[in-house]
Amino acid sequence: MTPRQRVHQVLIGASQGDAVTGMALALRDGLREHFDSDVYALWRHGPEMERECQSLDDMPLTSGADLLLYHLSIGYQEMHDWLMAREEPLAISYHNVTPSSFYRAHNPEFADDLDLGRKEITELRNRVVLAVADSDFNKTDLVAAGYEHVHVIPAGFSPSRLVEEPYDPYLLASMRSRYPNGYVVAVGQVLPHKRIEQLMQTMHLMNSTFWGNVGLVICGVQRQHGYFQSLLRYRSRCAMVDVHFAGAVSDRELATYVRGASAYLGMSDHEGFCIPPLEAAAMGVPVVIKGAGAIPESIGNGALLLPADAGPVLAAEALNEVLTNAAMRHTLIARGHQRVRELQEQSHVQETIRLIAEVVG
Amino acid sequence: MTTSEEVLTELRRRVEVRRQEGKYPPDLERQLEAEFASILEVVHRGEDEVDHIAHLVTVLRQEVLSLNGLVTNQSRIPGGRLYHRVVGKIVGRQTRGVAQQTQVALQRQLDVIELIQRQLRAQRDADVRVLHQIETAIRDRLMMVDALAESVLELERKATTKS
Repeated sequence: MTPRQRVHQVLIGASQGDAVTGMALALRDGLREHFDSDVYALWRHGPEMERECQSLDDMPLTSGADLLLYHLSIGYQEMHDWLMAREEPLAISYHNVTPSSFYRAHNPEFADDLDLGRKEITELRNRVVLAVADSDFNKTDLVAAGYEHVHVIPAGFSPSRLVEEPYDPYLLASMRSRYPNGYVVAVGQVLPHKRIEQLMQTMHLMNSTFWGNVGLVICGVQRQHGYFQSLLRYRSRCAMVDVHFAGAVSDRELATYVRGASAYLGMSDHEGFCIPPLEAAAMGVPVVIKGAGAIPESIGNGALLLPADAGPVLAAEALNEVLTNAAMRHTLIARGHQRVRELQEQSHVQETIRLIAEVVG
Repeated sequence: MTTSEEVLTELRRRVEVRRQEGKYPPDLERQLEAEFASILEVVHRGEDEVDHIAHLVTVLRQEVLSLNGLVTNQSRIPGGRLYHRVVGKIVGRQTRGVAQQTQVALQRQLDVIELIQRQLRAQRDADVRVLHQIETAIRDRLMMVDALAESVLELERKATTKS
């Protein structure tokens, strides 16, 4: 019997609830039907990730893998050196590297990592035998770096993954009690380019203009101390909105927060592909979102899409309309479901596996 | 529902009406941006560096406590694990001793850093209190100026009516 070919995936960090990790694990499950396949990570956060992923240190110096698929979303020197020393054929799955300009002034170390990630795109180019991007928006970065054949596939992504998740009745009851007039939810890491302060401004303006007294719940891990401290201070200035920072949450908690929300609001200035609003749409929550980066092509017609340069004033007006105009609300919910169905019907994992099979022969 | 573009056109129209009615002051977005930027600036300028030092000291204390002079026997080379085990046994007494001495020295350094951090925090809290007092005093005086201005306007109105 001929031994199975080996296709492994490589991540910098693996953590529960992280979109890239989720995509890698879903792809691994599909790959295992055809290949020996594991996910290796430099850092594995939490016991579940230690079970699901292998430590990068455990990969032998000559793994004999037929292909390594590297998920690129930031640079990190240790990973960069590791990649440059490998000899296996390399594929990249590009999830976009946020421009460092968002971070240069207040977090230069993080900005350096982002610059390294951008540099890595070019440095790896001649070694890459297969390049995949989540979106057309991401593809443009690879093409600009000289890649000739880039496939656009958001592999391993399932917008309906939270639909079957049971909700937490105690959490839902506590949210109902804290927010008797309902709340708006936003999901994503608490980072400057996500413009969390604009979410707060929008809700503050909406409540003060229309007397809605609607709350704001932000689900997402707090990655940067200074930015988060600034938001906590700013919260006291946005007196017309009760903001709850839920932090990192489990899938069950996330499903509960989102399902219980009156609407989903996104004000991010940069996204390579945007999963949370699609997950909200899958759960019947109307989405109002700024059309930055790859958001327009990801969400399609499934949301009320604001211009990429929209500010909190226009967002407040739009959100109020969605919360108070039943006809618009119902149409948005239906369009959201339609968009989720369109994405669900495309078998992205199988398409990626087909491309990988072609490459490894 | 009409297309998103039609909805946006209508929303923009309403925003414009509210701006003209004075519900949204001119330059509101820029003011909001500037307010948050100033908070961000203050936080990053160092006020919260004091808290950050405290956090780092806690992390360092845990790391110092875990110093034991031992390293992993893992090896990718065949027989490497056994080799490292044997070497570890031979030099273990010395490496543990060095680790203990390092631990003591680092603990003392951390005590000093913690002392400095406490002093910085005390100074910062005192500065904040003084700033609050000054701010309150300025607000009181501004309110007085407002009240006086109101009185002047009232007097002007009366004078105009009589003349």
